[in-house]
Amino acid sequence: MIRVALADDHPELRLALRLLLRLSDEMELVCETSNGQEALDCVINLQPDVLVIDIQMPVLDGLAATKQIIDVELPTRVLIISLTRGSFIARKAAEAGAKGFLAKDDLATYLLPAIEAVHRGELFFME
Amino acid sequence: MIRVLIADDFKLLRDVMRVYLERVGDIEVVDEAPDLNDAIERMKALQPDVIIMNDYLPPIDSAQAAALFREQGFSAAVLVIAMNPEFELIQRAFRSGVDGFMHKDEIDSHLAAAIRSVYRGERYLSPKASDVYNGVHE
Repeated sequence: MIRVALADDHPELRLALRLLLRLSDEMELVCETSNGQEALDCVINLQPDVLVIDIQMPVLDGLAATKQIIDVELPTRVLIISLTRGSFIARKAAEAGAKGFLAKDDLATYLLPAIEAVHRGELFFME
Repeated sequence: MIRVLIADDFKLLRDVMRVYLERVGDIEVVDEAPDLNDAIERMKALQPDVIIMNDYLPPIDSAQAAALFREQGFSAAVLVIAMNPEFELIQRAFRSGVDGFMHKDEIDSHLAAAIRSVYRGERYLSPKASDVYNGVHE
């Protein structure tokens, strides 16, 4: 089982992500949060395999949360999702230490393959 | 094949429903619409068997939209999906010509069954919507 955490401030987007995770028998949702600080707490306490986190969020944004996960050397791999696409924002995600980047328009097709790839230790960047 | 139109202003959720419906053999998504005007145009052009509609289809709610579809003479069965089903909305929706009502969190488990049910002419209420309607959850 791949243990997955979700962090996004839009309830309806989290619902869509949950529904996508349920397409796979290999994934288990371990926590769902609506800001970066809660996401960080979840990662510290539950150490999920993969954190899917929105780049723009209240309290602590996705980039800052990712940097903290890297700084304290937690094993969770981070997949950043973003409303906007492009190489500039994807590079920001990579610089923060994310192992993957997906635009929200691509989630329905690529969320599960992206989670599987970063879980295997690969990089998955789709600008 | 049951021909379905998906009307929701949230593209990702339309995509998710499409992914789930592509896994069943008897339902075909003929098109999608992000708002009421688009939905009406596509209903006219494609005459779907079922329309799946968000409880708010900009700029009006699903009960108003269903009443409008009936006025326009569309024969499609109407299935409403809601993030927060509320008793008053469900009741008003059924009175306005909606055929089925479900919670969006049940899309993975109940969407195909709901579509088949309203297509057969039945009134459909999903387990979670039914709990709200019967006062189990306020």
